[in-house]
Amino acid sequence: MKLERSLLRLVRLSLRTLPPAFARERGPELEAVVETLLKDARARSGLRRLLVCGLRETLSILLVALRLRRSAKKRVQPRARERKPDMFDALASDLRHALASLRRERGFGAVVVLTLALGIGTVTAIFSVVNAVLLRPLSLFEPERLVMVWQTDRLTGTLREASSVPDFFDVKERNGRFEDVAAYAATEVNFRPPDGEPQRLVVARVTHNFVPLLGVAPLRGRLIDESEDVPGGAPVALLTEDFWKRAFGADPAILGRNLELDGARHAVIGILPGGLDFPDRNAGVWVPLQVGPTTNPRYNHWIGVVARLREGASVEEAQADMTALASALEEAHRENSGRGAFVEPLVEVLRGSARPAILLLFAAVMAVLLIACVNVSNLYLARGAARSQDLAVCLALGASRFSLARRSLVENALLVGGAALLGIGIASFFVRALMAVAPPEVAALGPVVLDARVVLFTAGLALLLAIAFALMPALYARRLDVTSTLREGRGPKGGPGRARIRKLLVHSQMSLATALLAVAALLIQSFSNLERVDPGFEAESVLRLSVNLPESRYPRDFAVYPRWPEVQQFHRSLLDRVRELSGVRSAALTSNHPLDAGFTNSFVIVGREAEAKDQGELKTRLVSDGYFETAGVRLEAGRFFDDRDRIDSPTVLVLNAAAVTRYFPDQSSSEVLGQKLRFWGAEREIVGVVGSERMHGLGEPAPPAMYVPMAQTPAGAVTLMVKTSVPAEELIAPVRTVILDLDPELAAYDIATMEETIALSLSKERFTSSLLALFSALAVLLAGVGVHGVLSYLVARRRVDIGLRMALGARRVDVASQVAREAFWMSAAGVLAGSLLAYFGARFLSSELFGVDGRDPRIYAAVAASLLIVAVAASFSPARRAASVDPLRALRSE
Amino acid sequence: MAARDPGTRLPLTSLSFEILLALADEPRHGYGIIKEIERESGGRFRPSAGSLYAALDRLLGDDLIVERDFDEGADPRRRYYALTPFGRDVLRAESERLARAVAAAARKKVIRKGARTSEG
Repeated sequence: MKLERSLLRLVRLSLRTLPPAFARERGPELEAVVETLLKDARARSGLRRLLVCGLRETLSILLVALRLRRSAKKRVQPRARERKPDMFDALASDLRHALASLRRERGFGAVVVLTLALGIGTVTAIFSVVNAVLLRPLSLFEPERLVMVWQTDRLTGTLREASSVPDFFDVKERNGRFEDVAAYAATEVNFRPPDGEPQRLVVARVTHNFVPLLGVAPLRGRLIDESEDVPGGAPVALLTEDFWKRAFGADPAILGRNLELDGARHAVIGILPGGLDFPDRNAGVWVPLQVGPTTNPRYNHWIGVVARLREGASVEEAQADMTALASALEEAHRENSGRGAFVEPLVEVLRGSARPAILLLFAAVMAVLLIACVNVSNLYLARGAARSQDLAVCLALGASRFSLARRSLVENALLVGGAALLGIGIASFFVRALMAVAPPEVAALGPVVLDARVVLFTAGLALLLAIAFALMPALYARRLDVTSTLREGRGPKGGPGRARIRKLLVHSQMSLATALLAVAALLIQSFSNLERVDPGFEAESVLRLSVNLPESRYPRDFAVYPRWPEVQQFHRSLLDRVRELSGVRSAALTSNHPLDAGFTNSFVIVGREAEAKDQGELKTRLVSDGYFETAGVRLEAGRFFDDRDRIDSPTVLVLNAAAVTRYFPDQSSSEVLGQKLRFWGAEREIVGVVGSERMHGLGEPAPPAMYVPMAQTPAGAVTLMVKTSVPAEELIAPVRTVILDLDPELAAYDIATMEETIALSLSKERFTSSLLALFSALAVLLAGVGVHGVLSYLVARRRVDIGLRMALGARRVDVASQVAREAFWMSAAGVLAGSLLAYFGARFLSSELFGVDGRDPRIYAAVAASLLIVAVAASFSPARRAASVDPLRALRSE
Repeated sequence: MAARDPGTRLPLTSLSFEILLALADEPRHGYGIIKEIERESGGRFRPSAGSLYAALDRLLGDDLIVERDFDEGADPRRRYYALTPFGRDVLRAESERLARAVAAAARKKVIRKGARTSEG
């Protein structure tokens, strides 16, 4: 329990303030009791109670320390009066004075603490995300020297493609800048734990040097030996610590035993430490990749290549090397046409995608904190004015300005310290709420917790704020003219300079709030565009789940492809049985669900063979009959797949509209019907054209794609899609029963509705835009409070003027509207500045925006209008107060 | 020790009184004292650990309570406290003083005689 531990730390810290003799005698016991009390509080009544209890105990210890030290002094030094007061006395007296004055101004203290706690709390929460996602050290040795060696494809314009096995061996051979080069691929297998249902397990297949290259040592046992990482080598396996604990209860005897994965036995040789960031945090088992330079074809791109830079080598040098190698390979091998290289730091790969959104959120919360601080400064200014009398008296009686400054510092340290503690409490709730809605990019990067670094950050922030706020009244005291203040008497005075400072504060507040609201509006608009985009398929009432048929029982011999009777028999029975279930409208099998990127394939248009070299690849989907109906994909021309498309009937395919536009730009959809493409050793006739599915996510254009009937091109790993007439979730159990019935060893995995899948694909955008909406609302609210405060101050200061004007015939409505006008113009300058800020900042946002122009004047107009409305609304009560000034009384008071 | 006059220690602070009262039936450790006080007050009052130990320190210094080793093997930081005979005298004297005060309050109709607090 994090909070309990930090509270206990706080208590221990406060124990240090006790006089040494008492601390020695009673300290440990006292600590033990507080420990028990905290445990009680948590067990009995939860977190809030725990926080209150911890803070109460801490405070009481501090007070006891103060009391004991003072009484000790009285006893030991009866003639303390003659002794020059030391630092501790001064501090104690400051503390007492601060507590007393805060007790007197309880309202002021509460508002300051709450405002700052809100600001500090949100900043702390977002910083803890920054910490977990961007700052936490990776579980790899010198990760800054690790790079991914991607392939690029000039023809499709993609930047991060997997490598082929022969290409990997070429890179390994030419490793001028690299200390070592390793390869990996992630697969999924069926695994049945000693007691339980078969489940899906992510397996990392890695070359023998992969783990040493990451700089990771095994917890137990040994790593993969070079002799095991050859085609047909011994089947061995490494378990990750998490999986070892989860599946085998951390039984050390697992070493040397056999593990059955997809029915094949693997000897367990070692345990890897848990929480490895790469290649996949979910991988439970690591096995040797077992490939050689000639075992796999060059056109098959399925492995990731990672390398460790030599000491002193730069990414740019490696990039130059790899570019040279790629063009040499392009010369030498037809399969490599169009393929380049892209060397990317691994840290970038792991963290790059989440960074812009998180930094944006961090900037937003810092803006909120700044606005909150401006409000607090305003309060200080108001109090400074009210207090100038007290200060003047103190100075007149001989207090040094230094001692006044010190007192104000102590007072602020108390306020800000309280706000920081409360803020950490707020943050711990906020973080939990945050993680519940966080996108997988954030959640996958490790636990978000309030660790030492976060607390240190918050403490630093609080210290900075305490000093800043302490300086304000101190500056005020410096400028204070004792005699004139004493003569003038009480009341909100302050010259025109003070009013100018306040207006300046309002400007800055308004501009920050405007900028924040504008950015939030852009992102919200962008998110709603994304939600409204036509994905090319219908997600409603569609369930998906995947199965992977193990080769041991479902042989896949490519020599006789596509004749895989066991696989095809399973597909047939599965579809037949599922279609019979009640609540099922249609069902189909596919190699990839609509939002799964899947793979691409090269092809030749029969009759246009010369173009093949430069035409790039087509996204390729293997789908059963009924797929388009189930996924809700439109038919544009020709026909869908049906019973006609059997293993022995003419080979056919369906293109999507994007492919027709790209490869047959001059022909209509119906004109391409009957033409043929050649790939996988056969000519296939185009029998249909369908609408384009956005396979790369709703924000990306639909890629050109082709579909081939699964009856003619079977696959071992398939996704079953079911369109239902009842809520899709209700079919999960019946479908699983069907699968277990057909094969009790088979795990159904990756089970979700398509609506969930879409929601998940938008979770990052939803996360960012909803948080920004929240923060900007907070900012606008705080800015409104700021405007209200300054106007109230101005109205109070001008009572006499207002009274005079009314005596001279001004109507109440004139007075009120003047205040409203003032609110308007005071905010207008800030709104303008903020709009400009957002306008020029928006170009850094362009990568996060979809279908919105970052400079869309309508958005800025709406944002400016809403802020001005807020400003004028905030002037309502000061305006009423101005209108209700009694001219006689106002003039008499002067 | 018996020669000392309990009257010189009166009145007790309310926390000191509560502590002595909590120790009246048996020796307790610090946490036990807090719990007993909380129980006796029907959950309305629970001293903080800091003020408890400050008070214990004072009571020890005034010889109203002593430290007592109790069961070994428990948390070694945990110590037990028991009333001294003098402490018992002071507790009795303070209780009588309070009883007189309550009686006086009843006579003056501040409270009804024999009135019970709401939680019973």
